Amino acid sequence: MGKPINILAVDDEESFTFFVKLNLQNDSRYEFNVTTANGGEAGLKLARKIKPDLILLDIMMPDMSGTEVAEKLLEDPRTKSIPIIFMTAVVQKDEVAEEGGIMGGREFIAKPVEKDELIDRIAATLNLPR
Amino acid sequence: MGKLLRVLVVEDSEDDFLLLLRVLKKGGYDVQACRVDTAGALSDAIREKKWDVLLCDYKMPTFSGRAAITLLHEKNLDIPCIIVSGAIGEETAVECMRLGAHDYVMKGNLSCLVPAIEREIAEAKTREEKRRTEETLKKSEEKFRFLAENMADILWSAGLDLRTTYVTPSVKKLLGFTPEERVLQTLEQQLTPDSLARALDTLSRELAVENQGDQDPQRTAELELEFYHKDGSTRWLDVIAKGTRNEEGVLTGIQAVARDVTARRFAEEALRESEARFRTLADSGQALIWTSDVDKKCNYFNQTWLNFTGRTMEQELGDGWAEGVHPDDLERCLKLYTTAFDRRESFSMTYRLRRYNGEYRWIQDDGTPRYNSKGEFIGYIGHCLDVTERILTEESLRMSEFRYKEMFENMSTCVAVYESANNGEDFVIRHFNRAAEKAEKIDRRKLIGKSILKVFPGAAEMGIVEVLQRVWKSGQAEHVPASFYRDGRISGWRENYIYKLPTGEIVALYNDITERKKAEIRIFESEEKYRLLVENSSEAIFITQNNMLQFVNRASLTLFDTAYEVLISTPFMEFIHPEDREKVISLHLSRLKGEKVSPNHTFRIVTKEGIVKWVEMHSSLVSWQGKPATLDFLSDVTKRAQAEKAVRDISAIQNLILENSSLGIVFVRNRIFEWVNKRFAEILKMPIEKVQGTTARIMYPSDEAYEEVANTAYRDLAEGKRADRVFQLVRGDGNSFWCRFLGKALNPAKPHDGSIWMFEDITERRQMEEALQEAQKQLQDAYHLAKIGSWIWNCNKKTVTWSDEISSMAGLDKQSMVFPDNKHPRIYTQESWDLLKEAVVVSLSTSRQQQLELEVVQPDGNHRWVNWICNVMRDKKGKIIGLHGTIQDITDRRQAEEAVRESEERFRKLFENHSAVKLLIDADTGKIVDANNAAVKFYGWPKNQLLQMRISDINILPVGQIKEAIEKVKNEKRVQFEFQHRLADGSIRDVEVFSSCIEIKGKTMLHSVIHDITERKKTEELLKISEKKYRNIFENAMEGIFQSTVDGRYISLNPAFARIRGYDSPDEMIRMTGDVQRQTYVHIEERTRMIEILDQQGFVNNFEIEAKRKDGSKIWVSMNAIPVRDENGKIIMIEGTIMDITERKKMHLELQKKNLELARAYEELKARQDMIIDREKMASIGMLSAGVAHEIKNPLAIMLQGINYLQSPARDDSMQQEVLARLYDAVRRADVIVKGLLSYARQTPLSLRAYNIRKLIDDCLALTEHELHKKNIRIVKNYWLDLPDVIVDMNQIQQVCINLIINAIEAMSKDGVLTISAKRITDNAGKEFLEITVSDTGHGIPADKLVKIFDPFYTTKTIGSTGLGLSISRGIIEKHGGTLKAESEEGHGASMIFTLPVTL
Repeated sequence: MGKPINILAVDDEESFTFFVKLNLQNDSRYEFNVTTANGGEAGLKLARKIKPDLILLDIMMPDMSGTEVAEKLLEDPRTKSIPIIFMTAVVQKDEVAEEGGIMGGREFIAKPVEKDELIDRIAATLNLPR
Repeated sequence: MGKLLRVLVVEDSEDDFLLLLRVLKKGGYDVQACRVDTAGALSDAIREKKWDVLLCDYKMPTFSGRAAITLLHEKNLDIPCIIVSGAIGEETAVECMRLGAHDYVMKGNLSCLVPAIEREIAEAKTREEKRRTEETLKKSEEKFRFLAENMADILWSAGLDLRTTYVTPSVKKLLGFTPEERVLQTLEQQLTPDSLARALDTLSRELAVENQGDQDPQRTAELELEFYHKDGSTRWLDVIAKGTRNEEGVLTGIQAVARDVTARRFAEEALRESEARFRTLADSGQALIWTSDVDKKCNYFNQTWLNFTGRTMEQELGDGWAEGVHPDDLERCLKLYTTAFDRRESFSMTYRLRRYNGEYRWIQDDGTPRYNSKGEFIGYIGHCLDVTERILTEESLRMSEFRYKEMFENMSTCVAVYESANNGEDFVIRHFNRAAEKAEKIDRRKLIGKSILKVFPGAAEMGIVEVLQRVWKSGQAEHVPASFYRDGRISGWRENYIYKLPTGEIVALYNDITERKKAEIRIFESEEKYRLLVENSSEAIFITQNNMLQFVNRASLTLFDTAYEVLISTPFMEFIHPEDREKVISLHLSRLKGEKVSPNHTFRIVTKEGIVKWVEMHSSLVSWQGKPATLDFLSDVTKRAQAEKAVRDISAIQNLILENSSLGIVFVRNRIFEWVNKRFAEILKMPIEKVQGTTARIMYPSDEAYEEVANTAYRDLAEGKRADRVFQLVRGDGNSFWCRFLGKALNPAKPHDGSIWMFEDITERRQMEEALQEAQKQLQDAYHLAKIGSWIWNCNKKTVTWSDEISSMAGLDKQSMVFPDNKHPRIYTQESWDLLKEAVVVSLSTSRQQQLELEVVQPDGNHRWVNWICNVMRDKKGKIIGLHGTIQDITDRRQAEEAVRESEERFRKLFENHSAVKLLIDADTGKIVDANNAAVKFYGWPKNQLLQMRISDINILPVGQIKEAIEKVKNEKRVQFEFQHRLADGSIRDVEVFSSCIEIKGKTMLHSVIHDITERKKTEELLKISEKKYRNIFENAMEGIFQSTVDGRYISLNPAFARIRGYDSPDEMIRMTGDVQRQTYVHIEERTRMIEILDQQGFVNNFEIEAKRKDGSKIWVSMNAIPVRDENGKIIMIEGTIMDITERKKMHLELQKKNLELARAYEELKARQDMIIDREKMASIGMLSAGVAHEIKNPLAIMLQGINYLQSPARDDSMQQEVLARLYDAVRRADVIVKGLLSYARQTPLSLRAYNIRKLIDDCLALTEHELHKKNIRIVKNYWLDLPDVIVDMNQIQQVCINLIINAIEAMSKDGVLTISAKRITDNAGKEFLEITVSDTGHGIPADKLVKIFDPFYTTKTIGSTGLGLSISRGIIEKHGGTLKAESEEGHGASMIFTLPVTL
């Protein structure tokens, strides 16, 4: 095993990040190290601080939306290349797309999501060995 | 028991704690308490349990009240906190309150504690509630603000003055104006004039109406309006507006939602334009167009169709069109349509469709599947053309073709069609009909495609190949008269007619005339034989008529010793010896009169040289050229006649001798002188009368002398000797004289019965004796010479004397020749015997000479013929004393004669009884000289009448032309004609006449054999007409007609075919086309496919192919073709027609393209509409969906992750508590959200109106018809009559009904029964309701589940069900003031019963 993969999970639903952390860190295939943030601002702060390998980012958050967080991360050269997987419970993809270009070309997961799918998507985004 | 109070006490003193507890118990509380005295313990306590109140000492050694309060705040716990202190100043108390304590109580005054606790708990509760409300509000506000600001639609509200009071920021996105700018604008600035007018009109009409009784307060108006964009362009928005009203229902303003539909609007416009264009195209075209949907039902017919059928669109839609299809065609059409449809294949069919005027027209209907832009099948489009004319033409053509072909096949005339090969060197057989097959005794399969030289090796020798070549080169038809064909296999006579077809093929029409020819030959041979027989007969054979010889044979020329010309130009009488003429004429006349005359007679003829010949003629009457004539056989009997004459002369001499003899001759019987001659009487010098009849005594001188003679002379006689004596006898005058007498007995046995005596006056004896001896010798010599036997019959003595010649004549026995008396002699045949007897009688009675030909049977059994002649014999007095005559053997002559007669008979019968009609015609006069039985039967006149007629009475040609024809026969000897002959019954027949010229007795006769060819001629005429028609059609058809071989060569094609394909002429095209497949087909595999279809189906109709023209350009043609098979069923040729459908095809393709465009546009429109409907649906759920999804899916996401964790083998069980607590929270949250949703549904305002419940339910049934039908569910309606209207929100109640009906259907398997009943009931309070029951015959609901079915998300169904249906339904019904319940007995179906109040 090499270096553990650092994941930052950002969601205003504390229980969701709680379970995501449990599930990822229990994964048998990959070694994940999960940091959680329950809100947009907290997420942004932690992302700048720990510079994770990948961010799981909820879109609809009360204090700062996921898209806003993503915009800010993009503005910062230190964080702009961190891969982001957006997550949302809102189903209509095109409604999200209308928010602007920020979502374009990014990974996108509709909640609820199975653990295995989540890991597969992370692995795919990071080109992890299967 | 009192109220439960959970108390956490921060106290260092156990005593004080117990004191507090006692006070609280006294105050009526059931206390659960815990004492802590450190910060850590406090933290643990508040985490572990929920506390109603915190009682806190202020001053403690390990802890302080102040720290405890701060801790509480840090934990953000709003637990009422009361400071209970023994010593605490006012300032401290205030400080504690500021920190967050709610009250304080002195330890010394604990009586205040209980009331303080009660108050604080109540306040905390109030605080808690307030906080919760605030939070909910805050969340909700955030949510809606988020949605409003992010939504694409514009929400707009205005006062009654229509000035904007609020508009969402989305207005900037859509129209460029900010909400602030918008508020300042008037409607005139926002809308185009047209839209403004419509908007104001709608608003005033739909919304600005004061609240009236039946006015629906929820009423909305929807319209599309054109708005100005800030950039000056316009946008189309779909606006849904409704009035806003205050509590009293008074209109206060307008609210509207607007959505950008510009793009849709443009698409729609484009679509509409396209549709209009298409429709115009469709309606104005010739084609009848229809479309159908995926259910095979027709959903569109163009105007042309409707004009054609004279029916309305409504009548035709669905399956209505089928009513117009001819009943005979319908089944076939439907089958074809359905089959093609199910396979999604294009089809083409032809059927009869009824026109508006009732007439059926043939329609060619081409259907093609339609697909939308996504490639999904959406039905069919068909276009039809009226092809009646074509069909009719085709049919008649086919009929004609069929007829032509049938005729070709069944013609009695043989037909062979040849195609030239090697530039006319050889000919290949292309067609060969059955008659030809039969005639040539060969299976045509062995001929077709073969060279004539190979299969008919004798053809060249016959000369037919030469004719074929000539006709092929010149194009001039030729008739080949009967000619003989022979090869190693067959032989026979053929008569050909050969001509050239426009295709270059050579047609040979011919008849096998072998039989006819054979018969003719037989006739000619027979005639020849006859002729030879006649010609070469040794007898002269000729026919006389009117004293002229009409026919003579060669022997005649010899007999008459005259040239033929002379013979037939000289009257017959001139040849007859003048002395015999009278006799011959009288005989001839007697014969003509029909008198019975002996056929034989003998007379003399005189040749030109003057030689007299005796001839014996046998004549019989015949008819010659319609007139009586005699057929004469003449034999030269000169020598015989001469012999006979000699006999007759000798007889005369005998008589002369007897009479004038110098001897006395006496015939004595019984010594009486029966007969004496003159001399005897002179010798005796007595009158002869005295001597005759007296006894011989008178000449004797004495009795002694008389007796002596008797004794001596008669003794000699008796001995058969001649008596010869010399006596002295006495004359009548008494003088004695010496006389020598000789005697001889006729019968020596009876000398007295008769004896002849001769007396000689011895004086002159020697002289006399010598003379007599000489005469006798002469006579015998004559007889001997003529081989004629002579006989004498004495009628008195009944004796016959035969000359010796008899026995020398061919073995006839002299002794056996018996003369007629009553005995029948064996030597004659019975007939001859009878004739003989009769002749004797006749002869004796008439004294005439009789001549007979008698048949004699010789002892060895041979028959011979003799010529028998007899004459009477008289004595001197003329008395008949007997007969004498001659007999001559004529057997040889007789046999020759018989042979000729037989030959004649045979010849005549051949003519008479010949089955062919035959006429013999006088070439000079045209008279019908003879006609055979067949002719009599054919023409219908009696023979005698026919023989009076001329050929011009029968042949309908003018006399001049008949004469020409006769001349032709004369010149060419043998000619064949076709004439028309008139029959007795007046009918005219076509005849074929073979005439030959024969010379009969110097006259030219036409021997005509007539064949009735009327039928053949008729057939020929028909054939010609048909052929001409066929050819005409072929040459002039607008459509191209072709025949091609399977291997790809054109056999024939018409000018139209060449024209369509761009060639100058059919010939050119045939010449230039060596490979039809490559030279014609753009897609060469299509020909192979076509041939396959031909093989399987037997025809192709409207087979459309892209074809190449001569110049390489491409055209579309529609082909109809049929295969021509050989006997094995193998296709050898294709016959068909083509039509240039390039224009039609172009139009068709164009139309298809347009159609496709239209279909795509339509699909787009529909998709957009669907989208809009979806959005509206969302909107109508109050924009909840996104929120609901978010709110429900977030807990779901938590649950899923939690469950994933629990399922994971690597889980940490120590975490179980926390995991379950979090999952529990998520579930609770979702529940709350769903309840909120339900309550939302209940909150949807009702739009109430009075409805007829029956109609409402029926509408619902109609909406679910598909499902009902699918499961074949029967509906039972059980409605009371006179049900009152109910006041309901129709949409919502329908939603309920549909929900219940669908549930019922889903509960049932196939063939269930759905019962819906509606009745009126009254409840306990006297209120009236309608009770509607929906019952099914499904599996029922178990009792334990019956109570749960109204719970939200409860479902018994598997997939796709929300489990919300019944709970929402119940919500709706309850909102209407009714109830919804379920009844079921498991296994016996279920009933859903709901009530609705009759009056609100």
